[in-house]
Amino acid sequence: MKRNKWPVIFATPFLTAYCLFMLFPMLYSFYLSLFEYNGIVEKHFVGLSNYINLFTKDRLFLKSLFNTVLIMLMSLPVNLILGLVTAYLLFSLARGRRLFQVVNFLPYITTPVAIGFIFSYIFDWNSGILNGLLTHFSILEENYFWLQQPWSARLIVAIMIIWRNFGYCMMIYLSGMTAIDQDIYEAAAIDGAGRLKTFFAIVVPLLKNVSVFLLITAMIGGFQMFDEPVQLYSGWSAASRSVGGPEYSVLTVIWKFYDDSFGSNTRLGYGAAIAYTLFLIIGACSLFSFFWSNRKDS
Amino acid sequence: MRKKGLKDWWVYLVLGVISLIALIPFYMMFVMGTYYSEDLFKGLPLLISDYFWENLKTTLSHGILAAYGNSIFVSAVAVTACLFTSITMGYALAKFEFRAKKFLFILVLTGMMLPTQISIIGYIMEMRIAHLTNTLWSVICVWIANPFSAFFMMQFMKDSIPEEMMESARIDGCSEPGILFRIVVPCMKPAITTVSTLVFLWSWNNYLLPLITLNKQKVYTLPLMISNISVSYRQDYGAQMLALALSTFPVLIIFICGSRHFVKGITAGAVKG
Amino acid sequence: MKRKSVSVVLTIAMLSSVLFGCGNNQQVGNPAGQTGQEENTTSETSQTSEEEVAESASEVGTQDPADLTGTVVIWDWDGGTQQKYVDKFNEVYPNVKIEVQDVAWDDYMTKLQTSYVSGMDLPDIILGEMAWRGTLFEMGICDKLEEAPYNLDRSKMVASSVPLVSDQDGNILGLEMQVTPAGFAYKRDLAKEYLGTDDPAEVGAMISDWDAFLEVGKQVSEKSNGKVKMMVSLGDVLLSTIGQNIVDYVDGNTVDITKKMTKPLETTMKMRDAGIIGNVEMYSASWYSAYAADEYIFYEAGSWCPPLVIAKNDTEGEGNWAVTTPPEGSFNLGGTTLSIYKNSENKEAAWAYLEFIYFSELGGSYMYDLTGNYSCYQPYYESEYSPMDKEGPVDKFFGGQSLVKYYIEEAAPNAKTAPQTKYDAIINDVFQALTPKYMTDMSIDTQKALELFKEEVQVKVPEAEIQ
Repeated sequence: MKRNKWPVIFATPFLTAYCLFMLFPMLYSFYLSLFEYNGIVEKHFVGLSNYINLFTKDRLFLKSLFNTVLIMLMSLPVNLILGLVTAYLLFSLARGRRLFQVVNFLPYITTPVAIGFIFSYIFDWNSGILNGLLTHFSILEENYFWLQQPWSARLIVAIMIIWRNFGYCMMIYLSGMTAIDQDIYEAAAIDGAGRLKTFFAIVVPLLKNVSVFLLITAMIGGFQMFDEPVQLYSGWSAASRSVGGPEYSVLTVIWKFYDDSFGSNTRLGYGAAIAYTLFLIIGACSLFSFFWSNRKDS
Repeated sequence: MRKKGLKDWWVYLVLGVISLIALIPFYMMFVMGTYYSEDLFKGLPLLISDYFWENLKTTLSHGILAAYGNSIFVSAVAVTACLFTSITMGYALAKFEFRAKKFLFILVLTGMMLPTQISIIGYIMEMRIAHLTNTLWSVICVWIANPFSAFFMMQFMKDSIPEEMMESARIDGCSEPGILFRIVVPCMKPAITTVSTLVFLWSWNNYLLPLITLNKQKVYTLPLMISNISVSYRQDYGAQMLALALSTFPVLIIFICGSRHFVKGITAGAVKG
Repeated sequence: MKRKSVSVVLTIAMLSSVLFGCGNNQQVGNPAGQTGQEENTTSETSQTSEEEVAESASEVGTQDPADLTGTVVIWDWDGGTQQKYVDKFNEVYPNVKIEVQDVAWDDYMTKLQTSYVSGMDLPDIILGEMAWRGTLFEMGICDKLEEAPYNLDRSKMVASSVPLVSDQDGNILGLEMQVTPAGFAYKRDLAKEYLGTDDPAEVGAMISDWDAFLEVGKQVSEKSNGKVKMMVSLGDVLLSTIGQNIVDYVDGNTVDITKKMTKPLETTMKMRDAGIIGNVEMYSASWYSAYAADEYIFYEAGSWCPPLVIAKNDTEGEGNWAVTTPPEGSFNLGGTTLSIYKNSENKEAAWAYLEFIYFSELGGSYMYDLTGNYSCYQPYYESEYSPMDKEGPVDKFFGGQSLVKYYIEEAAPNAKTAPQTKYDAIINDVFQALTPKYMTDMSIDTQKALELFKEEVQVKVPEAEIQ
């Protein structure tokens, strides 16, 4: 009995704060999601129709989900593979490991506002560096509208995400490699396995757990994608009242949620429904990938 | 031996190029802060220009010092509070068996999956009722219970704190809080560094919440202050970039100072999980 | 434990400040109820005894300006300018505290709406920029200024401003920060080189309508080998033509986009196809920097642009600018209203400030001298403070041209204006979202452009019937 009171006491501070500042507001949002409410006109109960409208009437919700998944597909695998490969290269280095690690992690700690600024500055149509370089070396005949075309817009957002997060992936992979028993590498070297072979035969399989961890966390983060596209279209290119980029091509779910609830509209009930739907999708995907990876294990 | 050296040269080159790409935008931010805004359009800002002092004056006149103070206060308190709750919670989840454990664990996991913006309206209403709007507490409270940190601490303790260490302390008659704070916490430097850096970073860059709850210049945090630098119809990008660069500085210093522990923390807290 | 006690102390401090604040407000609140009757007697006596300064104060209808107390909060994205006015105001009303709060333009509505929804304090004076004015007015949080305690007299407002500050039912909900008719500003050196003259009247005559504008554009393009364009962005053209096409297009839930947008889009597409307009996205960094470039001749210029936009963004362009009538006449461009929050506890003081600066003769002259703004108070232009023969702060920048003569005498009386609905705010959003597409995809013709426009409006207001 005496043992058992301590975990409860230890859990109390977190639990209190959690209930106060997360759980209650979250439940309140759920309550709101059952109402048509814009903060000005009295709210009225509409049941699940907000959720139904999302899929039947709203032309942008599915599109925003599509965009989010698409940009994730464009960035996440690159991030993981690039992170793994560079981590492996770094791992084989005798010197300068920490320096490279720190340098590549810098993008992760840069303020999103600054990232948006710099990327829109690079890709801007007429003052942009990229167009300048490409036309200077006659790769392009005339300036290209990078930020005004749906596919290049998505590509740029994906690049921003890769740029920002790849150092983080690398760092975690590198940690994973350090954690693997060093004897295995030596054994491989004695067997005459080259770098490439060691990589595929030993490193990749042994780091499976790390990959799953990264995959799931990156997915959770990816579904909540917001900063990169918003900042890209608000810093330099600055047509800040146009939501979602060209043809809504980089409108992500959270951006849509934000715009519907705090931006061009204050449809709070509807916004809450968007957020909860996203939450369900994230939950389902995480559970699925978790069980999928576990089942293959056993 | 010679062959290996050659290979290494190749590896250094590849890594060098990648690091350069990672660095360029970062570098540009610092360089652009030294430019006269209009000059940014005239060519590539690769070298440092001469407008640093003017831009610095502009940022100072917009109250960057006060905003700095506010932001540091917010992040420092947020980190401290978050560390306390997440260490105790992580300890409870990692080292004890009790009835509600599974439920609490699920609660933490759910919290990690929830889009953070979801709860903002209810949260603001609470802050209003508690008369905390327009105070820095309104931007601090969200960080007190951070599910990611709790999860991270739990993972770290599970793997890196041996049961025997605690048992022997118990036999010595140490109280439970004593074990936690005298025995366990000192072993957790890497995890504490990692969580502190990340929570510091996140609370430092937080924009939406302060935008809504803070209505007085006196309590503006850095991101809010920076967005107000561009006076109406002339966008002062130079000054804005300088302010952004300056605001990245503390995070940069914290990260570089703690980078050794940070890496270790990530290894133990995330990788083995 | 320590943290808790801190927050308790904080809460107590907050509470007491709230209580204290209430006590203060009651002092203001009580006389407010009585002013209706007392107004005449007190103002008459004070009017005779006081001097110039108090004279303007007597228009407020209260007693001695020093008796008025209270704290008024304004959210403004150009707090520096507002503060200059506040200083002037405080010379006369020493006991009214005006707190100017900087809120970034981009965030203004977000902050306002979210604060309102979550029950936080709103400012006493709310700004309604053109981009969101319709939405703001339909939120129903702005007081009607023709009612007590304000009793604004609409006949004293510049006629073209009245519709702009009214909601759809014709209630006046705000004061105009300034009269905002548009002109086309141009660069004198380019005009001389490519049009043969830099005289505003002659240049204006050359571009008397959009067809003429197009012809001139083609000639300029030929002469300069395509280097020099007529305007910076397709958005500039579209925004002008939308402003010129004042039609009644909203009827309850039915929105006649065809009627509102066909003509503007037609003109815009014509300009685009002729290749005489630059490819810069409106309001982007490059757009602002284009003021200093020497590739564009004309710039859309509302009355606020010369001091606030042009002079600030083309710092070396002194003397090289002029302004003339846009093709097919002036229209309203941009502008900001100042409204009083319906739940404000300092309505009297807020109104005293608004009236003192934005709706009086003396206030008009302060504004003109400090920033070059044109008050929307009509009597000001006939009074001893009239700016008509005074040099404005940026006249020199415009080669000595009298801007006030252009904007107030030529443009304002001819600028067509209409009340703002939330659909105007939406059209503004949609226009900004679509312009890049119009700009980059040459296969879009007027018909297609119109279809796209309708679709976008429908997306923003699913419940409306779009025609």
